[in-house]
Order: sequence, then structure tokens, then C-alpha cells
Amino acid sequence: MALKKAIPVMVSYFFISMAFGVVASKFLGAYSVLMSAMVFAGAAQFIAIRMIQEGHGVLAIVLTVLLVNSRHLLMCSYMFSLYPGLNRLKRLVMAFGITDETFALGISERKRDHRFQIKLNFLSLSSWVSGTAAGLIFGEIVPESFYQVMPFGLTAMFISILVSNIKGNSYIAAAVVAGLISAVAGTGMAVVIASLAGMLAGSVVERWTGS
Amino acid sequence: MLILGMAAATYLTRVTPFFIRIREYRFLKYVPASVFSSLVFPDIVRSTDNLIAGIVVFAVAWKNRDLMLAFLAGISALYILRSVF
Repeated sequence: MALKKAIPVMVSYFFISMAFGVVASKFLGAYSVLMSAMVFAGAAQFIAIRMIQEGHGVLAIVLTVLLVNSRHLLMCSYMFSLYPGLNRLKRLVMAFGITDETFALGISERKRDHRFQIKLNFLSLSSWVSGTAAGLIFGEIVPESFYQVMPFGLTAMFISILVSNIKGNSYIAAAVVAGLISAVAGTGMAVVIASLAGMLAGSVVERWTGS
Repeated sequence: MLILGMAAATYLTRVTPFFIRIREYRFLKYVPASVFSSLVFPDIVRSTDNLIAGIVVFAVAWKNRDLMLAFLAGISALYILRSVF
């Protein structure tokens, strides 16, 4: 069941990380596979490669990664609220594999089963790592246009999750405020600021309307 | 060294919330709507193609909540738009 659910993410992860492998192997060689296995964060990894290319230092890159991934603070807070009784080891294991996409898959599932979430996480990770290796080994055999549309498949999934999480006016307010701010402000830390503003807007509207 | 630092930074953002219990569920329940809206909007206002494909996906997702369907609608809509125009 977890496999069936994870397929769209696994397919797009494979091709996106293949594109990553092609670019990253020029700078990191086989270490690009290690990076995918240990970091497992798409946006952060692509930004890191660009920063290496531009000659930035380790500290600058690590701090940027911290900022870009700070949205996971929000997602993981929400995730933990779904599984309040989880033991320490399982929290440590589950946290490792939470990405935008595994979070999206998990919360769209109606039943709450931490093992299901952990399976989703590791299936997606395995695809991310093997895609990177494929990019490293086979290089640019897949046409460029194919890589370019894959990330949009993930955006499409996010749209679906967004639609199913609109449960009233206050949720519309949250989504509109967050969406408008992020559309102007862009990605990275802006996602966190836009999201916090959206959460605040949702709460304010909730208090006003009582819905 | 770089990879270790990046891995640590990423894991930190993911694991910290699992050890700090936030009781403000009033705010937390807006996380999915807010976060996914913030991830989607910069991507769909990037180009006309993306915007049209985004609207198509919205319409599909409105009728059917299946993630696989949304995924396929997204990549095919964008692929067709990019090939035709």
C-alpha cells in the first residue's frame, strides 16, 4: 500500500535526482550519491551545488541549507502533532525522511499509522538515492524537456493537497495570505514567513467568524 | 565536511519539532494550507505555461483528490503547453 501511494513521488524523485546527479557529479563525483543519502533535500542540494560552483565556503552553504529547510520546522511540528505518542527512536527515524513530498503523501492519508509514514519516507529516499546514482553513471541520456516537467508534477500534487486542506473560510484566508506573500517574496526563508503569516491570518479569521 | 554540515543542518530542522511539543493546535492546523500555498504560488506565477497548467490542476483536484491524477494532469498539461506554444 505504501508503495502504491509513493509511486508518483518515487518516479519524480528518480528523474529530479538524476538531473541532480548529472550536475553534482561534475563537482562532487561519487560523493553526490552520499549527499543525496545523507541530506535528502532537493532544493537545498541544488542550491548547494550552485554555491559550490560560485565558490562559496562551507559555512555559507550550510547556513543557506538551514534557511532553505527551515520550512520543515513547521511541517514536522504538524507531523508530530499527528503522532503524539511516538517513542524517541521512532521520532528520530521518522524525522529523517520528512520532505515536502513525503509530508504531503502522509497527511493526505486518512488513517494515522506511523509505520506507513516511515515506509513512505524510506521508499522515497531509496528512489532519490538511486536516481542520483543513475545520473552519475548514465549522465545525460534523458531529454532535458523531461527533467523540466517533473518538478511540476510535484507542484501539482501540492495543489491537490492544498485543495483538500481548505476546510472553511479561515483556511482560505490562510492559503491566500501565504500564497500572495510567497508569490512576491519567493522561496527559501520566504516560505516560512509566508506560511506563518498565513497561519496567523487563518486564526484571525477563525476568531472573527467563529468558523 | 560540507555534506556532513548540510546533513546536520537539514536533520536539525526536521528533528527539533519532534522533541518540542507545541500545544497551539489552533495555529498548527493551518500548516498544510499555508505551507503548500507558499510552495505552489511562486512556481505557478513563474510563467504563463505554469499558470495555465496550475489552473488545470486546480480544476482536476477540485473534482478528484487523487494525488496520482493531479501529478499526471500537471506534467501532461505543462508538457503539452510547452510543446504547442
